[in-house]
Formats: sequence, structure tokens, C-alpha cells
Amino acid sequence: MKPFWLMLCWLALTSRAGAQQLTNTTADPLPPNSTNETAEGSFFDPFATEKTTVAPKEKTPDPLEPMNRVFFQINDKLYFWVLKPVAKGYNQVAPQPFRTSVRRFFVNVKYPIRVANNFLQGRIKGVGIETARFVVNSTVGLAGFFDPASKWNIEMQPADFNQTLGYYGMPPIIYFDWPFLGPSSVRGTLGTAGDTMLTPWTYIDGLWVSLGVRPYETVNATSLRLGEYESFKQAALDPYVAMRSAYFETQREFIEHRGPGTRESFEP
Amino acid sequence: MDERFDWTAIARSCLGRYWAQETPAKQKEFVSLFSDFLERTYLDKFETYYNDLDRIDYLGERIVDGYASVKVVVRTKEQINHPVEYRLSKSSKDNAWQIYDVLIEGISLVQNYRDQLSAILSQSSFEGLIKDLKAKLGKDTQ
Repeated sequence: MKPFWLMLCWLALTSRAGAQQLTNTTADPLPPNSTNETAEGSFFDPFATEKTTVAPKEKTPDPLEPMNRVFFQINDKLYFWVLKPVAKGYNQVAPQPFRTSVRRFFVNVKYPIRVANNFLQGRIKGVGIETARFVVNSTVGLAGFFDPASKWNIEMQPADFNQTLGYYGMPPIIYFDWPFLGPSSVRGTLGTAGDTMLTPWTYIDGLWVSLGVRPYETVNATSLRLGEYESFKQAALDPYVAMRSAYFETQREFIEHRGPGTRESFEP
Repeated sequence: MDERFDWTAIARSCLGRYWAQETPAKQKEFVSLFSDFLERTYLDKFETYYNDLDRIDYLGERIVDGYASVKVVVRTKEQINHPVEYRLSKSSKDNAWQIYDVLIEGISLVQNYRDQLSAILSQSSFEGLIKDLKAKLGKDTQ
């Protein structure tokens, strides 16, 4: 996750005068969860979407923390010793526009996951939009390597099985930080299992092909985000907790449709 | 210290319920160290990351009483969009807007650090945290 350095972009581009030019647009009435006076120390945020009265241990249940911390370390080493060198080498031989196109291809091909889960959550309009996207991008967009649909404002409708399970009320239960797969939960793992059933290369005959596709996708995606994990670690006082907290937060927002959705929805 | 940020409010909010347990002197020390840490971690790296920037799209703002939320989308050269939200409050002193939280891809910086500090302080002492912060700052200057 490209973390918090982005705020400095805005800072550099807005002068102090600019910041004070915030015009008085029509004031909204305070949203429902606005009184966040908490046992944690009074902190009022009218834009907060979650009651901060919930203790961290309840928000991010993690009874297997010792085991998860070990897995976190394993993933850390895997990144620096394997994934990063491979992605760096890949960067050398494959130009960025190509790698971006490859990422779009993988996003396009996951259309069954999005369509099925939009449907399961009763988002019929989303089903239609996603189908239109798939048709346009697979044809005009040359097998999904390009994304003309977004340019024509046919926006992605992100959805996955984890979100569907959450939509129907299943809590995450507990946190897992799986080796290779990364942060997850009981619900998240079920979600991944469900999504895998709708992933095309699960069904390819030929062990090497089907086993090779997922790592390639990961290497390609990482090659476009080199440096993010390092920045993330440097910015954290306890990277394990930072990651766990971020995981629960993004999942919660995704399920409640308030967050930006999955990363993919913001990638052209 | 960059005055566009309300460092005291940020530090205090990140410390959460542990803030009230410390003396004003300790609180001041924490605010100073923690905001130093945040500034070094994010703001001082600007030169490095500016080259990676493609564009910033302003999405809109919302104002509720003395609070404001500003949303932008930052696009990097790799063509990845990152939604960023700034939350500001009006300082009672000089009517200036100051940032009290930044959300990157929906993740609140303040809440994330609050979770980290809560985990750290449940295991070790406040002095231990101060020591950790100093060590981290010391490392960054190398």
C-alpha cells in the first residue's frame, strides 16, 4: 500500500492561502455517528464513519497473534529475498506500459468474481455495468489489455466473496496473516476460496500453467508498486499492528460501501 | 513545524486513552517527538516522491460546522490512482484551517497509529515508547 507520503503532494501544491480558501459550501447536517467522545480520550470527528468507542481488541480480534507475527516475519523475508528481486529483474526487461496492460488484463479476467458477487448482493445494476465493461474491454480493449470502458465512464463495480459474506452479516471472526497470501481473516479466507472457484486459471489443465499464473500476476502487480512496502515499514512503529489495523479497516469500508473499494477500482 | 497540521491534536488523538495518564510535561515531549517522527517520515521525503507524481484531481469538499473534509485523487506515473482525504478543523485562535487527520485509500492515519500505539503501550511503558521514538528518529537521520 502506497501509504502516507501522498499527503505531501497536496501540501506542496497548495499554498497556505489556498488552504484558507475553503469556501463555505452549504453545510451538511451532522452525520449520525458524529459524536465520537470516547473512553479513548475525547476526539471529535464529524466525518468518522465508525464509533471509536469500540476497543481495539474487539475491532481487530487476533487471538492467534503470536503465530501471525511469525507469519508476518516470513512474508517480510519472502518479500525482500524473493519477490522484490524478481520484480526488480522483471522491471528491467518489461517496460512500464506493458506491465500496466498486463495488470489490466488480470483485472478484466476477474469479471466472473465481480459479476457473481454483485448479483449475490442484489446489485443488479452492477451486474449490467460489469458485463458492459467486460464486453467493451475484451473487444475494443483488446482482451482486456486496455480499459476504454473506464474512459467512457462505465466504472468498475468491485465486489468479492468476502464482501458478500460480510454483506450478509458474517463477521471477520479472527485475523490471519497467511504466508504468501498475506493479511486475511476467517471470512477473508472463505472469500478467497470462493473467488478462486471463479478464477479461470483454476480450471486450466496443465499444472505448470495454473500454478504459474498467480505468481506471475503477483510479480507483475508488485513491479508496479515497488517501494510501497518499504515505505510502509518505515512509517510504522509496529508494522504488524499497522497492517492488521489497515486490513480490518479496508475490509469494513469495502463491505459498507463507504471506502474506495478494492485497489483495482482505482487503477485505469 | 508545519503549521498546516494540528500536531497536538494529532498526537493526542493517536495516544488515545493513554494521553490523560501522563503529565503535561510528558505529553509535550510526546507531541514534540511524535510530530517530528511524522514530519520526517512523510514530509521530508517530498523530493524523492515528487518525481513519481502524475497528477492530482480535486474531487470536492464538505464542510460541517468548523470541520472540513477535502477529497483528492493522486495519480502516480505508474497510472495508479490513490484516493486521499484530508480532514481539517478551524483553529479557534486565528481561524486557520488545520489538518487533524489524513486518510489514504480510506485508511485513517490517526486511527492506524492509535491502534499501533495502543498495542505498544499495552505491552511496554510510556518511557519505552519515548525511547522507541527517539531511536527511530535517530535512525532516520543517518
